[in-house]
Amino acid sequence: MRPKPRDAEFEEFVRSNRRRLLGTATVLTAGDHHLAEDLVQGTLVRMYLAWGRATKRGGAAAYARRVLVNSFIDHRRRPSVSRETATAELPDRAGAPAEEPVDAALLAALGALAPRMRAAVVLRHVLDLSVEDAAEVLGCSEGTVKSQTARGLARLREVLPELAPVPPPPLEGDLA
Amino acid sequence: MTDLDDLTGRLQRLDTQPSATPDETVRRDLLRARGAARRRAARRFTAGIGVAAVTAVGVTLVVSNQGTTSDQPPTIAQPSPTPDATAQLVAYTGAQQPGFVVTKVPEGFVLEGATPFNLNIARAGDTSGLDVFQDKLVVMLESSSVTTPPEGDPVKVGGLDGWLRTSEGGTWTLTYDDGAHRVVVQAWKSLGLTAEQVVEFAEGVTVTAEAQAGVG
Repeated sequence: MRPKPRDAEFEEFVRSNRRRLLGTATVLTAGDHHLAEDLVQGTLVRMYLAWGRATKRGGAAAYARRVLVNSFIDHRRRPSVSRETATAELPDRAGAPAEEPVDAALLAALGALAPRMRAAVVLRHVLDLSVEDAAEVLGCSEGTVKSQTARGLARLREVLPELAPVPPPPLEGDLA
Repeated sequence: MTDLDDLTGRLQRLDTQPSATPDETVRRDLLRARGAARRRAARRFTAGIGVAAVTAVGVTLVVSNQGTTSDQPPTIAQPSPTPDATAQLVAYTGAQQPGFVVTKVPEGFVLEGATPFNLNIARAGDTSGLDVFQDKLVVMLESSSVTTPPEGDPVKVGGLDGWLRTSEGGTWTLTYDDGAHRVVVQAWKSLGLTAEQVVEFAEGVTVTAEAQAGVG
């Protein structure tokens, strides 16, 4: 069977980009590998259905990233999806694939962030996007990206005990 | 290193570098995507038929309300058989697509391409894609989900049974047996083909081993 041009291009895109998309999805979902796989599969289907559009504006990889992030945020908006609740303790740590060492504590800590805040942190500091590009993906202003990212990082430092601010040494006068 | 530097460094290390995906995973993704495209095309086609049916009912009611002095009972309005344009079938000698071999095409038309489920014949320069059947001649196997007998007027296609009907105000749908398959040919009304031309085209179609029947 001779493949259609779209099929051949799609296959090449999947072959080159799927693993990174899945990695991004895994971080976005705070280590939920099953949800990450679902999100990636849905993203790739939407890519295929809109292949002409997907490959025009800014390239297929950028389009896929945008679809993935929006799919993640939309998924978290569904009423059937349980919301995160802030706790004093780290949630259960995600199991990591055996072949890759993963910062499980950090992944779990990301789960304490609200979806859009988490997406902002992931886009800026995991995928290393500029503020402008992250704003485009999220469909918000650059100022919102900056504030969400700053608050997200601050929250992560609160949640991760090893990153908690070290209290200053007591002053001599306090020893008395 | 400050706490913040440590945190951003750890975040950066969460990124997965691009690497190859196994062929089997790629194949499954493609099949999943094709299935979604096929379902979407079927939904659009079904929706179109629904609109045509509603329109036909409306036309019928208008005709009925106009009254008649004739003793003849009012007849059901038929979709207009008048094509948007006249067409001629010409011999096709170009490269064939997998699934279906054709010997004739409407003049000015080319093989747009094929999926395992359908062959599209479109005007040269048509880039609407294989999921779009409008303004095209499409050949496919009848869906394996169909359990009802074909609808339409009985016709003979190469001496075998066929059934021809119109929808969408003149779009032809010919369902016929070729001895081994139940084949469906759909000719959009804008092509201007007559019933005889649709049958003539179908008589030149050969289904090959690559053709697959859709589901749903």
